[in-house]
Amino acid sequence: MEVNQAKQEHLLALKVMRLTKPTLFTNLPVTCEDRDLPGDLFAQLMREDPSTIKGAEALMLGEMLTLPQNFGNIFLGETFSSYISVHNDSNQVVKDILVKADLQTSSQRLNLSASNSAVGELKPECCIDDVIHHEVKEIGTHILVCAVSYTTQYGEKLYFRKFFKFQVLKPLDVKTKFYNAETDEVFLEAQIQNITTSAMFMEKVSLEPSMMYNVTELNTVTSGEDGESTFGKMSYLQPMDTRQYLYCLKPKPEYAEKAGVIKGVTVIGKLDIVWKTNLGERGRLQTSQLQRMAPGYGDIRLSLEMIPDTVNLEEPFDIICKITNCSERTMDLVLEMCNTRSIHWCGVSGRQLGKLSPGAFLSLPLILLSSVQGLQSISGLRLTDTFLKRTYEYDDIAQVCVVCPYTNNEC
Amino acid sequence: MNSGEAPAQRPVTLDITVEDVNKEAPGPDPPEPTISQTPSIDSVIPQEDSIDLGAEFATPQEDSSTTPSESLMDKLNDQMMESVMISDSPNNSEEDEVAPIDSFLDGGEEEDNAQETPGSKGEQSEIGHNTTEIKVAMEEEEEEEEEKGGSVLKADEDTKEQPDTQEQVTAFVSPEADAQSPSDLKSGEPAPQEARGTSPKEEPVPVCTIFSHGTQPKSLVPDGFQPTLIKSPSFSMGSGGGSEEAVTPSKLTAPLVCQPSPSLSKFFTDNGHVNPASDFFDSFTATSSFISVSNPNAELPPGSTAPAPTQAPATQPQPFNQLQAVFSGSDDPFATALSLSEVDRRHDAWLPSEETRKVLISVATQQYSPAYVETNRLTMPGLKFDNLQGDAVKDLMLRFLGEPAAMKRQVLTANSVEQSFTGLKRLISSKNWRAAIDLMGRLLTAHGQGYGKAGQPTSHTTDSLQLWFVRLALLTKLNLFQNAELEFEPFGNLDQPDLYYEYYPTVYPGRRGSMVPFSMRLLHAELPQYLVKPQEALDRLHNLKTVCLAVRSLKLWRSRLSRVMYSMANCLLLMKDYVLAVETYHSIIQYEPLQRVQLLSGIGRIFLQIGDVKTAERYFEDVEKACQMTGSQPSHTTCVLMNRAFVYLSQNNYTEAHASFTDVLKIDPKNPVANNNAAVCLLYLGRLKESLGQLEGLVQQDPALYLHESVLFNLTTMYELESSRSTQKKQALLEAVAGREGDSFNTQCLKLV
Repeated sequence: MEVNQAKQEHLLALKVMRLTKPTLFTNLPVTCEDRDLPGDLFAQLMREDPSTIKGAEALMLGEMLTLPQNFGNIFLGETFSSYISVHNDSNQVVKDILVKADLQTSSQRLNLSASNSAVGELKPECCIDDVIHHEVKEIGTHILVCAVSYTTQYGEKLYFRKFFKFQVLKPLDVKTKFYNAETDEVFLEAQIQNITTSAMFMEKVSLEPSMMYNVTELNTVTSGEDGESTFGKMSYLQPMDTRQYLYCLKPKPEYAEKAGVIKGVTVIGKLDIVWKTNLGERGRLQTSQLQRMAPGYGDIRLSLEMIPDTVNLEEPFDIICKITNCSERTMDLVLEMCNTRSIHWCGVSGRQLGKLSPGAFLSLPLILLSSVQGLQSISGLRLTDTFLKRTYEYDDIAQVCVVCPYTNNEC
Repeated sequence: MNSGEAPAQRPVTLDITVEDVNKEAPGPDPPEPTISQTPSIDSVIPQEDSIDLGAEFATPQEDSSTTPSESLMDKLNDQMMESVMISDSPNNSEEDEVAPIDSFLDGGEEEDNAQETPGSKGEQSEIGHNTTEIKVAMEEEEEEEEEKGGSVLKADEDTKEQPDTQEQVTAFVSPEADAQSPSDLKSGEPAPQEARGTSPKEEPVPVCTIFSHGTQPKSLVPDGFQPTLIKSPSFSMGSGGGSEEAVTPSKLTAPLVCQPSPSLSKFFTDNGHVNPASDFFDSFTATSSFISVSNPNAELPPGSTAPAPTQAPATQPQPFNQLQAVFSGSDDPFATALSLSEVDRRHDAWLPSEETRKVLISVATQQYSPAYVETNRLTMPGLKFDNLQGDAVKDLMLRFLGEPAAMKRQVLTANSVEQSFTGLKRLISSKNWRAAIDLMGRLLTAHGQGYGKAGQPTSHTTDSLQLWFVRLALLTKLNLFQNAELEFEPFGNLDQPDLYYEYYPTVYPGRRGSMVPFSMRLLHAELPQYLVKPQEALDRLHNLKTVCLAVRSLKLWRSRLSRVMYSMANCLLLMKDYVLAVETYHSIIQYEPLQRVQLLSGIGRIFLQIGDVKTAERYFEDVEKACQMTGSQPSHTTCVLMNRAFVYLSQNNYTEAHASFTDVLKIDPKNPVANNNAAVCLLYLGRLKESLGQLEGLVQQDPALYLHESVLFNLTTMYELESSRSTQKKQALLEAVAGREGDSFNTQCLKLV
């Protein structure tokens, strides 16, 4: 290669154009009435304009397609499409033309050319066309490197390259939040924000759960046959708008057995997002695996299997507690029940519950009553492991609403 | 991050902030691992020519989904939407008609009829003497009456007076024309005019009805030739001759004390045609019956007889209060002739604001003269820029093709056409809108509302307002929104008292309502949306809608309502408030059932535009159903095929999209949209040469259809992609454009600069 190669006149010209979707031409309707000075003139001008909608000229959005006028923005997950045209500008036949298109990202170099074989010859005023597509998977600077090598009719081998640099931007901002239910369910709230400059139609926002969970999407209101989206009729996101998606994850039965034993970080799954913009321009992203720190239950987990939501004042009611041994050792448990200002336990305190091996659980029906009206918190259970002489306190286990059954009559 | 390990098919992994409820605080986003492992890009780049795509394609910051004409949409991007309540009219009773509006003004009108004061009587008789200058513009409701009225006017025609009037008018006008466009003058005429200060008396409120479709029940002797223009009050009120000079800069005109008024009519007389008025009136709103009535020359054979009742007042100075008395009696034939045209009333109906209404009632009851209305309640427009004239095509030719080629470019200018509506019409239809704007500037200058006249008292006529409307409409069409806004500004909210007929009881006796054309109100309402003030546009449109709903049961007002709804929907679309835009377009169907197919298709395209292909398909299915119901019209078949093509396009299936556009062409080979769109599809299929060939062929074969900015934009874009010689090819296009297009051509689509 010669040093001054860049300045050399080449017989071939390379042109590149990014092919985003075409756009629909918009007109600017200006009308008047028959009695106005221009009479029918304005209407006639609009009818003659090929870009108007015939019969409804006042409708702004036309049908005429126009080619993209600039490179525009490209976002992670979208497909980069580009037209590559190599045109013989000279008046001689050029031979053995090889056009190569590579995409250089921060981490790799990809070959995007449809074919890697050379074209035998190219006559004057003829072109070699190629349309390349690539789904961008990295943020940041990308460089499209187009290299053309050819042989002149005098047998001279020539070569040139062109570089087209562009930035890939992040289209969405995704934030997630986990809510652990008293049952083993986990609720995931995902906030998805459109940080592009155009409206985005969210075609799909789904949670692909990990193998431990089944997922229910809570983004439709089931009324009638079809579920209606909680986001209304039109499922699009304006620039900078944020939308919350909610998912309920239930551990699969085989894992639910061991739910008490699940500790530390667990993989919940990942969000799969597909959006579309102008005329179906498509983008797709998946989040990384969403991880959730399982709530720490300590050695013994006490959860409620059954509890009424509303009880009468000073009337005993039943609850069923589930006690799970989450530790690695066998425990020998004693249950103490301490009354609080409002909660009074019925039955004997200090009774032996027996031995509980690791991972095992037992269900424990208990009776109690409340002496105070209102929303009352159930507290005051104490479990003592007699092996280690360690006491676990359980307060604010659940809440019940205490009502006075006579209120209506008396008042 | 696993992007490195990701196989090609796998979707991308996005970094996410994970917040766990257990950790109370939502932490900030963790840094992106992808970035950190970035090797230096620079190392990859050899020292060969590196092109930033920005240079090739313009700034990467811009929204990719813009079309050339859409730049204003981009500006609207940042506008936050507010939801706007759309109140549909649930009530459809036919009873209410224009009643609401009438009730506002009835009081005033009655009093107006009742007490015609001696003062006004005097005025009328003076005008009566001045018969030659006053145009009869009779207005009739019915077609039959049109004929009758026409013959009446005919009979009145006094041939002797014709030259008289003509010369007067010319005389009056020419000094002004001197200042503006000397070439317009017919050289022979100034001398006689001066001699003639014919009108012997002052004319306190001169009359103009050039384009008039206005009622002129007091019509005096029609000269059958020229209507004249009303003078501004400042010129006519009280001081007469002195103030005349303000209108007519040249001192030569000093003796013309009582002109027929500074006159638009010049532009209809001074054009060398024997009967320019007929040209004008013929061309102007042929559908409207009253207008043709006001054009006796056009309608009637000379020397026809049968004077109709209306004539009586014309021939001699009959006291106006008598007329008024007659006017109020319902059975009198005079009354029939003179009574307000119901069509007019509907057409001009408007709801003034409370304040304006009071002023109008005061004027009508003669509590005070219009002259004493505070100036801040008056409309005092004036041109804000003098000369727009220019021809960007020619400028480009000078630059790229050289002087000789540029000299060949011939377009009509304000100077090269008749200074009349005929000329105006030629300019508009030949798409020389800049020249048309200039011509209208001249006409308005003649009316005393020229450059620098803003803020000076003036008076308005239906005609001056029509001129303003057309000027502003063309400015808007040329995307000169700021200019339009500037010139609109003195009109305020188009509700000043002096914009109502009631304000000029002597000029428009008995006529009520607004002189402002509804189309001008609509334009005024739409304008802010193009200036990044869509909220203001919506507010104004809602006000219009309210009035339309108040009188909605009439056909005219229904169509106005639907037009306002279109504007609202368009504005919402510009604001990208797609929900409300779709809702509004949908609601138009009830007013325009014939446009159902187009509207549903349009809504479908909106959904495609935002990427919701499924919903779009549902709308397109509705279109197909609607088409089946109405039977097979070719336009509907076209529409269905076109919609299908757009769906394919949105599914990235350019092959099928191309096939569908081609199917349209089998039915309608000249369909410019299908031709253009098929060519666009070819490009996406990698068939640049074919696509280019197709578009080029179209432009050559049928330039009328294809020298359109969208097509040319596509073509020049492909030229740029095709070869290094795009500039020459674009210049060839420029030559094609120069041969056909007027001065309003948007040269940006040629991308030469």
